Amino acid sequence: MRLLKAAAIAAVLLLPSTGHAAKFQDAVGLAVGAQYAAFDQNVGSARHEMELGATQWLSITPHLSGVGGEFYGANNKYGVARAGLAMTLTDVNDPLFSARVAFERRWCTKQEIEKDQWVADAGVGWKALPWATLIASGEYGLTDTGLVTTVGVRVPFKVAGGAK
Amino acid sequence: VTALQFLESLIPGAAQGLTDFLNGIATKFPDTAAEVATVLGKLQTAVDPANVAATIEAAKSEAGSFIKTWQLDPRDHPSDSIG
Repeated sequence: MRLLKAAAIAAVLLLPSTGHAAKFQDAVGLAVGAQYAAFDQNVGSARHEMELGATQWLSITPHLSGVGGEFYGANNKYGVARAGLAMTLTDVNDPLFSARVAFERRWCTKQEIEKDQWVADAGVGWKALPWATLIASGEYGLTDTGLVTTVGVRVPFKVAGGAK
Repeated sequence: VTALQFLESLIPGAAQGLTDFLNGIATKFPDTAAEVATVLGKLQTAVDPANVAATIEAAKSEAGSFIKTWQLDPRDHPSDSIG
């Protein structure tokens, strides 16, 4: 149910306005990915996890993007989803490297692993290969003050905007 | 203040972890060493507080324009794929 709610909010964030369908096609991005997540003692019972999933984003303005993602924890067998708003801190016209801060809502099917709450996130993405982007991020839970540190890879099959 | 130090202020431990991660890639895949050095260089570039303030102002201005016009102005940001 929580994942359905997360998917619904992500869909609202990413749905096109009918008058800008062509523009929407240029602004949306989609990727599949894998990541290693490390949890500090405030997060929950697990200390680390390998997660597999997908991410979506809508580049709204040069600095602002609606972002979302859904991942499955393979060892602890849980689903976690996030949706929110990200602000790019680095050169917005650099398609190879960027850093961001984000404010997102997180939902998880197992509260003992990751609690539902608002989170603040800081991260970087580096397009190391034409088909792969390496990511690293730190996510701070605003309720439990837990820190989730993540490194991983994304394989985008649709990117937003292109270099301008 | 560098970009790495800024990240560290937001997320304690993030700077060292990210540096180790990137250096690990360069060690494992020597062909990427030059690119890793470029990325590390960008992360160690000084972040001018005035630039951060300007970025926030730009984002606020962009948000205002978007709300008025509903016109998207997309860019390709690798960090957006974090999700």
